[in-house]
Amino acid sequence: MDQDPKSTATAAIEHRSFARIGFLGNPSDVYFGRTISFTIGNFWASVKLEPSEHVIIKPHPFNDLVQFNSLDHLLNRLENEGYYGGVRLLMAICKVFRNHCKDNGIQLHQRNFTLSYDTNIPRQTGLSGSSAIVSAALSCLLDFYNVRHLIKLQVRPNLVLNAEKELGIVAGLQDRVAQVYGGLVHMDFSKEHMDKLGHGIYTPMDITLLPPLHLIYAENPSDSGKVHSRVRQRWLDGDELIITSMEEVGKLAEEGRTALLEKDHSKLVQLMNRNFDLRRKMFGDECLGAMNIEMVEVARRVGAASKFTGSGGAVVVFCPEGPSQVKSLEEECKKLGFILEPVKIAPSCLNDSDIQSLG
Amino acid sequence: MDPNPEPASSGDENNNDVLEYRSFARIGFLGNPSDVYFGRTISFTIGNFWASAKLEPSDHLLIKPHPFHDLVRFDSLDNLVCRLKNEGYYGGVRLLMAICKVFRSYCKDNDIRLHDRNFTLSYDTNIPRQTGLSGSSAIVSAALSCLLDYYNVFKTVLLKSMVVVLFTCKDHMDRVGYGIYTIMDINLLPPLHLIYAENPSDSGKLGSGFSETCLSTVRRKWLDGDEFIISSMAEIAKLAEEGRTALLNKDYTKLKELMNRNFDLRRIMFGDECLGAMNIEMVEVARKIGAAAKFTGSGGAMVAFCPDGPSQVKLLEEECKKAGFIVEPVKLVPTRLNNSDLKTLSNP
Repeated sequence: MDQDPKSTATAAIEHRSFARIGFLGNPSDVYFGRTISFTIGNFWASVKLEPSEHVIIKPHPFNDLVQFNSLDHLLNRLENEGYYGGVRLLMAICKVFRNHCKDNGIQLHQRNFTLSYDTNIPRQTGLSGSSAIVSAALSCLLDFYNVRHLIKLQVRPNLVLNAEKELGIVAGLQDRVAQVYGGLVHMDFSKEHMDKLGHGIYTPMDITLLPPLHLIYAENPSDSGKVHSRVRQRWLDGDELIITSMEEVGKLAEEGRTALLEKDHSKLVQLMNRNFDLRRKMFGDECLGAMNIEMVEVARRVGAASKFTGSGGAVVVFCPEGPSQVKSLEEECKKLGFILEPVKIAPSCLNDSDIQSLG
Repeated sequence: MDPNPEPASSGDENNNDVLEYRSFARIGFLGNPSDVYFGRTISFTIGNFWASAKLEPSDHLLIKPHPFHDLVRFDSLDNLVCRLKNEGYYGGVRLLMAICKVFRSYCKDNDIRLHDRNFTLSYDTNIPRQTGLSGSSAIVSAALSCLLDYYNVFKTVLLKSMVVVLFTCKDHMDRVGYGIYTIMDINLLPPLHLIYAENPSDSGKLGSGFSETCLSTVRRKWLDGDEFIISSMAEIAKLAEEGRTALLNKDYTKLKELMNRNFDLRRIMFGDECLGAMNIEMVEVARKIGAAAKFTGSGGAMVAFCPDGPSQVKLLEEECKKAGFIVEPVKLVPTRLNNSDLKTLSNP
C-alpha cells in the first residue's frame, strides 16, 4: 500500500492507499466471521503532509464540494454525493491518532503540518474510498511523528475505523485491514481473537493466487440501497436465519482460501455466487438496490461469477471461461451503460518498520 | 424560528454589486421548546451577535469555506482535538450548500424561473457556538436573503419572517404548513441580560450529540402519548400566552414567574443530565440573587431578567464573575417588517 516515504524533518511526506475489493466473506467481518480482500491498483487516494507553521487541513477544491458549474449542478451533486468530502476524514484521523498516542504514552513533537489529499476512487461504489483517505493520512502521521514502530500494524485498521466511527460511518474492519496491509489478505475476526486482542488475525497471501478479475460499476450510481438494513439488529436479536447465513458467509472465506491455494477456479465461481446470494437473502432487494442487482445479474447472464465489492455500488466478476466470456460481458455492460474494467491487483509493500512493528 | 436579516450594504438591481445580509442571533423568551409541539412561543432577535452572508457574481458557483469556522486551521494538533470536541466537525459550508439546494428545489417545484448567472457565497459570524442562540439558522437565513435578492424573487418566495409571537395551532400547521406570526413592539420588553460561558463544552458534559438524543427522547415520548410530557409541553405553550398579556400590561412580576416556570418545566421533562451541570448553574446563579432565568434555546446561554433593576444587575454581574460566566445586556433589534407585510405573504 505505501510507497517509501521521503521522510526527513523538512520534506513533504506522501502516501497512497488503494481501493479494495472484498473478495469473499464480506460482510461477516462485522459478525465475528472471516474475509479475504485485496487492494486494487485501478483506484487510490493519496495524502500529502507538509511541515507548516499552523496545522492546516486543506479542502480539496472538487471533492470538498465548494465549486460547481451552476446551481443545478450543486443540487445534483448534493443529491448524488451528499454533503461531506474528505476534510472531515482527515480531521477525524488526526483526532483519533492524537488520542491514541496520549492514551498509550506515545510522545509527539510540537511541529505543525498541512494535510491535503487527492483521490480518484469513485464515490458510492463500495470500493472503500473513505477509508483509503483515512489510512493514507494515518501513514503520513506515523512518519511525520516517527512512531511507525510504536503502533502495531494490526492495530492501525482499528484507528482508521475509529476515525470513521467519529463521523457516524458504520463499517467493519475488513476494508481497513486490506488497505493498511495492501495486497491479498485473509482475515479472521472470530470472537476469541476480537475479545482477547481487540483485533483479528491477519494473514497476507500471495497475490498471484488470484485469477484475472473484472470490476463493474456505474458512472452515475443511483439511489440504490438507500433503504436502511435491519440485518445488524436482527443478528443482535438472535434471528436464526441471519445468524446461520452470516456464519455461512464467513465459511465461504475459509473455503475460498483453500480454493485459491489449489487454484480451484470452479469452486471460486461457486463461492463468489453463493456469497452474493446469501447477502441478497439477508438484506433483501430493496436494501441492495435495483441497479446493483442488475450489475450482478448481467455478469451471471454470461456465465461469470459476481458479487458486491463492498456494500453496493460496484461488483467484482470472475470469468472462468476466459477472454471470450470477458468479451460477451463487455458487450452486455455496454448495452446497460455500465463500466467494465480489468482489476489490477496492488501488491503489499509493507516496509521494514511495519514488519518490525508486528513484534 | 428565523431572525429577520437586513442588508449590510445597499444593493440595487445592478448585478455587479456585492450583496450582503446580516441575520441576528435570537433568544427564545417564553414558550420554547413548545414550538415543535404545536405550542406557542415569544422570541426576539438580539443585536449582540449576528451572522452575515455575502454573495458576489462569479464565473463558477463557489461556496467559500470560512478560514476559521470551517475548521481547517489550528494552532496545534492538540488545538485541533480540542476544537473538534467543542465545536464538532461541521462549519458553515454545509449550511450554505443546503440553503442553495433547498432554494433551488423550491423554485423548481413552484415554477419560479431563475437566471443562470453564478455566484460566490461566503459567510462570517460572531455568534458563539453551542450557546442556543441559533447560530446555524442565522447563517442560513442571511444566505437565503442573498439568494432572494440576487435572483430578484423577494416578492414571489414566501419570506421567513422576524417573528415575535408564534401562535400555532395544529389545524393551521397541518393545513398551511406554518404558524401564525404576530409582531409585537420591542419596547414592551424589560431590560434583559445574556449569560453564557466561554467554554460551553463543559456544560452538558456530553456535548451536542447527547443533547440531540435528549431532544429526540422527549419527542418520542410525546409521540407515544406520554401524559406527563404532553401536559407539560402544553403548559409551556400557555406560558407564552400569559407572557403576551404580561408584556402588554408591563406586569414584570408575572414575567419573572413565567420565565422561571418555563425553565423549571424544561428541567422536569428533560432531566438534569440532559440539561448539563454548567447550564443549571448559570440559571441558579441568577436565581440566587432574585433574578428570573431560563435557556435562550436548548442550552449554552441563559436569558435573565432582573426585576429589581440596576442594583440587582450589579449583583448578577458579581455572581457571574465569581462563577466564570460572561454576562451582557441584551441589545434589541427592531424588525423591518410590519404586520401588513406578513398578511400579504401568508395568503394561502
